[in-house]
Amino acid sequence: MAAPESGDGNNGAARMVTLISSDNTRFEVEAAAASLSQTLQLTILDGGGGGGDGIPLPNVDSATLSKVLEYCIKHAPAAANGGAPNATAVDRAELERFDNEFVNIDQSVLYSLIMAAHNLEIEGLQSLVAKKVADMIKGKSPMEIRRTLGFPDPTPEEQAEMNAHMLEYGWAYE
Amino acid sequence: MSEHFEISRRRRASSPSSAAPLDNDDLLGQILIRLPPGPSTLPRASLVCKRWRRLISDPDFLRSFRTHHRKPPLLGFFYHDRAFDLRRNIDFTPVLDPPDRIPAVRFFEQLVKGSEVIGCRHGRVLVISRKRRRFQVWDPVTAGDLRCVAFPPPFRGKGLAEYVNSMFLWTNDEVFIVDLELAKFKKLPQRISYCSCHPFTSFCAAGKEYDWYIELPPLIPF
Repeated sequence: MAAPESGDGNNGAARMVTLISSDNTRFEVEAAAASLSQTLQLTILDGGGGGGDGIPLPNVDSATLSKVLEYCIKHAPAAANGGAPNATAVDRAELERFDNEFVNIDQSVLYSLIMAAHNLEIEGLQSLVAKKVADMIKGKSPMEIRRTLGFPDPTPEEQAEMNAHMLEYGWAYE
Repeated sequence: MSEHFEISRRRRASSPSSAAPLDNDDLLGQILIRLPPGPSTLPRASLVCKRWRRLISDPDFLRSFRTHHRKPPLLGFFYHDRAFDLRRNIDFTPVLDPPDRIPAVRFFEQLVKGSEVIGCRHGRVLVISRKRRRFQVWDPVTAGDLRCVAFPPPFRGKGLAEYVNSMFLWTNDEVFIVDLELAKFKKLPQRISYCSCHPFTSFCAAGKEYDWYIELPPLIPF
């Protein structure tokens, strides 16, 4: 009879790694979750981050890292199934619900997440946060986009250029 | 990875500031390709500031935008009267709601009266003006990049068919392929005796080889 555990050398408890934020907070997380980061994946495969060592992340503060890891932990099981081609509709709906709620956050937190997802190269998170910003500006006029994103008001020169362009593409601004 | 867009990777700021993501062309590009594919989207976004305008007009960005939105929206349809009338304009009926509704009147000034639409691909329209004996490759949304090409010498306007992203034109004895995206014509070396032509392809490839296109000289520089 086959043994019930079908592990590939990964028997027992899941392997844990430690990540250290820029403000020196230590986060212990499953290697599978941290490996969603392309940047960390190789280090982890090489056995880094285990024991008392920890992987320092000088570009990510603890508040942002905790949020990033929340995402990774939630998405790790689906990612382990190769992007979850055989996930059930219920699983997918649950992840979607999580994602929607996950990005329902302050703009400054969102911006920090964008930078962290970029630095850590977490593809799904990069896509999620970019989509969130796109959703914030879609259907808005150029001035509304500037206000939404906190840009300063346009200079008279910029304003003149905008007006000229709007005449040409008037239909797009109705 | 196909939608991973980058023009130039700027060095990331060492201390993340709130505006940092939008100062990075790569990250800004990733945001902008996720805007909806409607025709008003990019004209609007390109007005936000000079940097956005530069990024949005970059061909690499536009390619990523198209790749990301695999299915382009239907903007409307062109039509003419059944009795082809040299004095009449082509009519256009938009199907989208504002702000993506492109008014028909916008097109009337751009086309020679009596022109006939013979095909649309990649947001470009191939128009034929028998009166002036020329083809026009026309971009209705930007109104830019118009290009007129004289009928290839033997072409008398016999027939046409669709071929991948191109139009397939044939005459009494010659066959042409018009790539609407690049506004280029290619004459095939094969000759035909008069019949109808049907392009036959083994599969519909996403990418194509363009280098074999022969560019016919534009008749009128726009």
